[in-house]
Amino acid sequence: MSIRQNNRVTSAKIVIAGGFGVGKTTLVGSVSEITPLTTEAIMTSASEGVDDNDMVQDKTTTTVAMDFGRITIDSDLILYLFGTPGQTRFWFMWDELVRGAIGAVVIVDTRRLADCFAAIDFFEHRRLPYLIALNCFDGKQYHDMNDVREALAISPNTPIVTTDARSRESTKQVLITLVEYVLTMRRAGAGAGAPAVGAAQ
Amino acid sequence: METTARGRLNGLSSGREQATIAGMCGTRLQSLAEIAAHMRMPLGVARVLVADMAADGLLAVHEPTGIGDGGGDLVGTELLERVLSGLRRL
Repeated sequence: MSIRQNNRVTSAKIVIAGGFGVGKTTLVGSVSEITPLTTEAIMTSASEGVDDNDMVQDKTTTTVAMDFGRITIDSDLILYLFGTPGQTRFWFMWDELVRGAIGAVVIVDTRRLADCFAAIDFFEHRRLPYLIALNCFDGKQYHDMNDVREALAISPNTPIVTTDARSRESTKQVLITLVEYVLTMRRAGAGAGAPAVGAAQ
Repeated sequence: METTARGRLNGLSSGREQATIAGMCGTRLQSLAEIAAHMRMPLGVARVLVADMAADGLLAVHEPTGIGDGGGDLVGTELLERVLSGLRRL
């Protein structure tokens, strides 16, 4: 499906995950060429009167916002950054989000480490390469990287970097590190047995 | 997706949403998510509109190049290398 007629334009995407309020929107916004856009992925008030809501009691509150940014790499290659909805009850949307993604950034606030467990589990399960980005609020790093690695029980190969999500340069470095990591894994053949998520559709 | 020549001609004669989408995708390549966000509509609604327009030949849909999406390892690696050098140039 990737090869299309005449002027073929391709896009790639990177998923930005992490707990609620950890800096996903900030990170997307710091490097995106557009103001991060918000889209509502499922039923909203717009569907009232169109869809039959009577049978589904809780539908009035099911507005899911996820934001995304865009980086034009080339005239025919666009990189999209998708921030995941932070609330865990919207996990069902993640499958769609990660389909075809090249990798994920899991932003971690070390003061609330447990918030990222669910995201890590998800990517491990889907075998989507990810890295851990410790968002240094106030420029402070509260924990040693090795302690974080141990606490998260992640593989020694998974990169852990520190970042200031507000900084374009810092975010850029995080993305570069992720793509380098994915490339290294592929070249090493480590990913050979791990089909990317897109293959599973 | 982007608006085809036919889409540009027909955009105005179809529904308002279609015309807006054709306008958006005429100037610049857009993703489904961008269309949904700009039009303030749920993704699912945007998807249906876009699919209809694509079926009518008004829009050209470029599938995202997922790594391992059947393009083979070479495609994936080449894509990653392009993304990487693009990021370094930022």
